[in-house]
Amino acid sequence: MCQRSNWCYIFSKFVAKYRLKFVVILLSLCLVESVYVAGISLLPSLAVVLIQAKNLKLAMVILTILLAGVGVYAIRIFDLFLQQRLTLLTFDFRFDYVPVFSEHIFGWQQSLIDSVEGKTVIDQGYEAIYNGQNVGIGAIIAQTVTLIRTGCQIVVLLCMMGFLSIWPAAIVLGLNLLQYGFQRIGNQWYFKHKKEQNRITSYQSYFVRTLMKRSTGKDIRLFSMFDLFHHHFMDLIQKLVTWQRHYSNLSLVINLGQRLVNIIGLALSLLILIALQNVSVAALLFAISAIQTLNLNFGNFRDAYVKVGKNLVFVDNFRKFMAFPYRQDQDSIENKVSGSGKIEVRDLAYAVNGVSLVHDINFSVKRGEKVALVGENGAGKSTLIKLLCGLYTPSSGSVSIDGQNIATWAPATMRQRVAVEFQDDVILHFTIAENVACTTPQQIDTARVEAVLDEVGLEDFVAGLPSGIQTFIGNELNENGIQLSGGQKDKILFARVLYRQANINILDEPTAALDPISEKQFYALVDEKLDQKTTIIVTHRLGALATDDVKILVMKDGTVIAAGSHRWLLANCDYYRKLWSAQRSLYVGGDRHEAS
Amino acid sequence: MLGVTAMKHRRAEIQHAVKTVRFIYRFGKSLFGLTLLISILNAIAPLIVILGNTQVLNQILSHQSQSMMKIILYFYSAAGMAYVGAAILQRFLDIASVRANERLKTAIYEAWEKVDFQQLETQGYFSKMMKSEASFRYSGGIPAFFTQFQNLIQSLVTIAAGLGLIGWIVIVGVTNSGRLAIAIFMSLLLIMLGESGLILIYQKLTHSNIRLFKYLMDLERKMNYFLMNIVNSYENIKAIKMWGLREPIQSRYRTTWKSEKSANHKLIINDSLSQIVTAIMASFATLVLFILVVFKIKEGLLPIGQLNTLFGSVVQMTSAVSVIVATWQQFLRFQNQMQYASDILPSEKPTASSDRTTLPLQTKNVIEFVHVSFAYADGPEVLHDISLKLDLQGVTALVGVNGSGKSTLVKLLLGLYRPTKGKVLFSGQDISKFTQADYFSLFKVVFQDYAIFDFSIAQNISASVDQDPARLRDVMMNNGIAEWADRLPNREKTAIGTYSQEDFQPSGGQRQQMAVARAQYKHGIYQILDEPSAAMDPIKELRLFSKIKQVSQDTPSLFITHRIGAVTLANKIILLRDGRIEGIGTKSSLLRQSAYFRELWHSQADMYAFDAHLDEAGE
Repeated sequence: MCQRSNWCYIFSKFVAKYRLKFVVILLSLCLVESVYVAGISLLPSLAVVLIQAKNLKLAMVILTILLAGVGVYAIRIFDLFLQQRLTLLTFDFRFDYVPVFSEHIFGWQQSLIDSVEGKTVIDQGYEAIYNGQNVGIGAIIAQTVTLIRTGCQIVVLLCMMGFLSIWPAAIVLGLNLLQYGFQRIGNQWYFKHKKEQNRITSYQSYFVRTLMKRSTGKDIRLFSMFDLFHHHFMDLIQKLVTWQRHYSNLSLVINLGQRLVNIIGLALSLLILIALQNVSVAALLFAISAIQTLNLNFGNFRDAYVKVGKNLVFVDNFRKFMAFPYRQDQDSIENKVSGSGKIEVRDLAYAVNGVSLVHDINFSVKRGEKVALVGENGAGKSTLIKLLCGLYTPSSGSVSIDGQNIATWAPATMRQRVAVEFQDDVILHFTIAENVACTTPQQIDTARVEAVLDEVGLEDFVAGLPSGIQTFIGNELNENGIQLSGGQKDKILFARVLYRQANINILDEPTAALDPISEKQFYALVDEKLDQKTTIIVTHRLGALATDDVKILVMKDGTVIAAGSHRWLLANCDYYRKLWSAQRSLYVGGDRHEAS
Repeated sequence: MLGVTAMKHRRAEIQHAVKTVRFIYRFGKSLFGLTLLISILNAIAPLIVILGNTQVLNQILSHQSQSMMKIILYFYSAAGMAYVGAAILQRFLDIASVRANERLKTAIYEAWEKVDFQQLETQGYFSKMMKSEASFRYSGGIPAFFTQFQNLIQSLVTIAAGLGLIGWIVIVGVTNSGRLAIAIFMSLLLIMLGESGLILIYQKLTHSNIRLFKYLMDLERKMNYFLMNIVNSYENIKAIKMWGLREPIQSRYRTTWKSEKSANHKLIINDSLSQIVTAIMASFATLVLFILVVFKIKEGLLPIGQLNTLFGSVVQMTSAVSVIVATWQQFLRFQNQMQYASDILPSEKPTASSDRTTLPLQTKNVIEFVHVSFAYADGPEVLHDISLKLDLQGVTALVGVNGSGKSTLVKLLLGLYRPTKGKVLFSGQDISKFTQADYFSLFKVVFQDYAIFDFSIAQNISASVDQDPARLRDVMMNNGIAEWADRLPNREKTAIGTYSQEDFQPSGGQRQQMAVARAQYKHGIYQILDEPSAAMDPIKELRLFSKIKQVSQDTPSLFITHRIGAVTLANKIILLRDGRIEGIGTKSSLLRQSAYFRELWHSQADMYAFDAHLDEAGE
């Protein structure tokens, strides 16, 4: 089964990580537990032998038993200690993957992250490491170790019993193998059907996330959607309970089989032992304790096996996740490309799953030029932006900055040359300084941070904060964190752009949420601060573009249908004229405004 | 005094346990009975086997082998039946506990849905939500509870039964000789002293365990922020790449991660120490009893076979005690986790709705703000002394710069917020007198951050399980949805999102169409649109505002916008500035009265003014 390869994968990763330490602890554990289990089974027999010895004084008997007992129990304590060491190792194994996961995700290709497959793999890959110690790859290792330990104990006990007589040992072994057979049926059913349960719980998690996004609360209340949600919740419950019912019915049959087999086995072994004529009471006592311990161990062995099986289900997605290529940012490598911010786009096209998103794009931007990208939603503006800043790799054609094809550039270089402010950019709940500088605290140039905050008009706000630019935003990481208004967020996001001082700045709908006065101030700020720098702005707000020094690219249906200044486009591009008139009609011309 | 604090702690622990039990009882009554039965059966079965074996041994020792078959048959069948019974009951328990767990989860989610919106938005409530969800997940829910409960009861029964068996072995012969009586007494005393010392150590360990766990949960919350808001929120990753935020994020993530790692290490060591202490307790008691029994056997008071009973019971009891140790700590932790869940659920008595008035609907309705002021919890006042009369007719525009209070005003109008001062009246009556459901039913709203959910298109539009087909069709055709929906395999029954096979992801524009359609489908008397054209290109924007004007004959509407041009289509404009009403009127009257309005208007209109020649040339 491919589950075996999954198990090998995880186990080999674990062994590779700890090597000698693990082997030493595991061997010691097996040794210690074998001695313990032998000792604890022989202790009653020892007592019987000592009691029946005629010429032994009571004090000697008691002393011997005391010593033996203390010895056995001391070993038990040592055993517990070793188990602790091992638990620490298995915990670290799982938990060390947590930052590794984020490292990978940040290095994935953007097209992978944007795809449904990528998102699913991330969601489910996380199940393998994030659900505590009893689920996931940690559990696989822990239960495998339990398997090995109980296996050792079983072997030791069987051998000891074999000395007495082969038959009871054989019966116990045989019947336990039978019980294992039952278990396998259960495991296989579980494997086949786990995906189904995952789908249901995945949908349930969707509802949790949606409700946690509290903005959805308005619609839910105003549209009285309680009954609708309740309907879906009940539907999900019913599906989950039905799944559980099937599983429990199967488990019941398996359990019954196992328990009956178990009890019959115990009875049979006992009968056989009794049938042996020359067995002493001590040996009999040993045999009875050994059988009981054996059964316990077999039970643990089977349980561990089931648990390993259940947890291997997660490994498929874990492996897929780890296998995806990701870019380890080598920030030290920098193409020493000097330049001024000249952009050339040739025959650019990009398609996903056979659907073309942009095609036949050709344009160039001079150094320091201001470019506007306009067009309806779905025309391909966002895709073009992602191609320009190297997040997507073109299906054909090229983007060159200062004569170099950006496909050859390291991400660090890209970041140095191009600053992109996306429409849905977020503020992280770290300090203001970190949000502006986007580097670790040690690398922040605080003077420059304060300077750009002044430039965007936040100096009074920051001065009024107790910790200034070191104030935290949001209160997850610091109780004294503050909340920002929408306007303050936008200002900080633009401060980021200014701090970066890149030759090329791309702003995606920067004024979408701004009122007229703020919008006007924003464009003035852009003009002033990004004066010599190449700037590309995606916008629906055509008014600000009606100057001669802005080059406008009009996009429709995935391609640039016209490029030029506002005046030129009014004269030569029907579509642009339509856009302009529509917007203009709201301001000029009274109440004549029929939709075209 | 140490004993007294220990007693107090123990009593507090038991009180907590009882609270948890009562909480769970709300969701699964039959489960407790089932668990009790299963535990008893599971605990007794192995003891029956042990007793049977002892009988057999004694028979052999006394050379009476005739009835051995019968003994084995009786004892082992009894044990077998106990096991069979337990297995059957277990099946019922497993299904019922999953059902109860899901019902509890749903109760939590529905509590989030129904809580007062103003409270929902507070940071305090959000952290309550996160805690209730995270703790619940971490705890394993009701199935985990009943597993722990079962382990506890099973262990307690085992210990009780075992003590019974051993007790008999210990006491027997106490009256026989003074020497024996002293031996028995000394053993019991030794056990009690040793165990109480060890119990104190165990108590300490339990307390630091709980403390560690609380600290861990706090760290979990921080880690959750990173996970939910950064790593798993896919839209952010492109910005993280382009801004080089990977390094600062990873460095902070690692710091929190390191703390959680070391906290977990401490917890593991604590758990292990608890186990060791328990093992010492068990082995100490065992050795003392063992020696006592050997003594008695030597004295001829007990048959040797009783060694089997002693050892068998001791093995069962030892494992039972270590199970109790592990489970009791988990059980207490569980109580902590359930606390968050139970905090978020509403109290069991629903508030009486008998003191609610019915809506006084008339042909012409008016909403009035009477000296309304509003401040967010622990925040400054954002609306100051607002008084206005809103006739629900025609098209009204609510304009102002960001932060002027437009959204807040609308939320007060809708009854999502309650005024800090003053009141909102509907047709003369204070809206707090109506039920929320009644009042909300008046409005058809499209928020700027509207939500389209991952169920079928039809359900998203109708906001209900079933739809009126004619009305749905109408609304779909009116909003351009029929065009693309009819091409889908399941048409409007197609489910949105990756959780169904169709895997249909509508575009932003399509989602907006559905949000608008939803507002239209709803029966209401007043339409409210919050920044409806924010993401639209000019052609679509004009079309939208024209449609609003068209439709406003039948359904009067209010829209919020900072697109100052849009006020051209409004009959009435409300201008807000810094939380106060700056002016109310038509466009021409405001241009005359308000310098501020003029500034707003011209900051945009001037950009379009120079193309006056277009008016003559036409389109």
